[in-house]
Amino acid sequence: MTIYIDTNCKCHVSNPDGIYTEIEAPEKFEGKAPAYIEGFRVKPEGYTFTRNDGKVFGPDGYSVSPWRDLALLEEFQAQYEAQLTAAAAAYAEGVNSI
Amino acid sequence: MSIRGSNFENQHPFASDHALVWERCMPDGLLYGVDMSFTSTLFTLGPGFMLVAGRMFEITAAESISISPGSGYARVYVAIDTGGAATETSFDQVSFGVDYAANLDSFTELTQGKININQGAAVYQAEVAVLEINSSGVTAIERQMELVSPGAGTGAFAAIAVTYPAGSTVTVTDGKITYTAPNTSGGALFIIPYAATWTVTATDGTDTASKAVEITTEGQSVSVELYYRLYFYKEGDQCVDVTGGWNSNVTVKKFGTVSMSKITPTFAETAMILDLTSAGTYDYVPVTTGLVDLTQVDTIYAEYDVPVAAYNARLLASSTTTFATVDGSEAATRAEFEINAGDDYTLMMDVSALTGEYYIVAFSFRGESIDAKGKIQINNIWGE
Repeated sequence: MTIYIDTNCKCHVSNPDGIYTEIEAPEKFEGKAPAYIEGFRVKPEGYTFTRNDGKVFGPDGYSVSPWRDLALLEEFQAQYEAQLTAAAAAYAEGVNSI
Repeated sequence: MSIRGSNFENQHPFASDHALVWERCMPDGLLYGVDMSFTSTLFTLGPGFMLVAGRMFEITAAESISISPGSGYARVYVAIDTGGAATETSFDQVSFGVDYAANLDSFTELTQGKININQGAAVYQAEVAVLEINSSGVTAIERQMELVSPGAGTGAFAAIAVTYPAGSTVTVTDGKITYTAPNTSGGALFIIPYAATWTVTATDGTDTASKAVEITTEGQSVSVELYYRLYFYKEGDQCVDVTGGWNSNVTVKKFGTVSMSKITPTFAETAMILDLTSAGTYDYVPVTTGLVDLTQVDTIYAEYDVPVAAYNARLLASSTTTFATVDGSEAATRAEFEINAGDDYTLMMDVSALTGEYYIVAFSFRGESIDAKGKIQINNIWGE
């Protein structure tokens, strides 16, 4: 799975202007909603990011960490899964009615 | 009647009333003139006007202050002593002094008494200049009091709102002016008079937390949160009050398709030791026994020594202690290094978006397929 990061290591699921850097997504993002993924930072080795409070995370090491409130991201994910379940049920109902 | 009029008809205004207004609105500084110069033994202030703690005074003729040779720095300060003589014919409330320090940050704190409150006697000192000195005397002016600019005159160029551990003393300083919070409630708002780098510091006498804030724009408002280090492991101390201790009750099921074997780390006198030098596929997963509240923690740090090169050191904050693979995908956040022998590493993990309680896992593993014959020593783990 491929994702993209901007210059502050924030994740994006698409790269319409071609300005982000393509990276391999961590296992953690498998099956996750775009809104969940885009609430995270992935910092590859050699990259840095600056948090909102000015704290700089230097180039050493790799990290995966949320920058949006994790509880909110988990709510996005729960709603995403509920929508998938509802869509699957509607599809199954449609198929069964044929 | 417990009200005293100041600038009211037939009421007597004190000089301190007037000064109090200026003190609240204007920083210490030069109003006009006061050119500064030096020789090897003298520091000279030219004629001009100064404003210090809201008190305005004129240097009517050049004032020279003797500076002794030495090694380091000399600080020239102005002292206002409202207990000194002030009559129609004599004035002895303003003087200049000098003290010395080896380093710029090792000067003793200046006295800044409340000279404009209650018309009482008090002393207020303010830095005029800091001079670099050597065995021959003065070599340079390191920094000096500046002209009070119109921008600074508003007294409200910017604001810094600080939250800090209740009971602490909080100060904000740019090295020239120091403001102290009026109480120790846990919250303070500082009105900043001009653009500069301001350092916000909280201390309770034992711990200290500090952050630098760049004030660049008029009207800027900055929020700063200060926390003391919250240790989760400290050189052999398992910080039981916070963590409940450390154990290895974590399950990591697979490395690739190979099942992991868990090994209990050695909790030595001053460090946790994760010895990855034996052959096999296994992991060390020291974890806090209890859930740790990370609501007030923005960053977790782990300090490593690496006696023998190892594959990696990994840190997780997780609401579970069971992981499907060494990737630790179930964790809320994760940070890791690949680490080389002989180096000291401090791993930083961003947990600012987490609220509530999590296990802290300091994780390292070895697989047969990777060269991981290392040894990792964890000295400290703490949050800020």
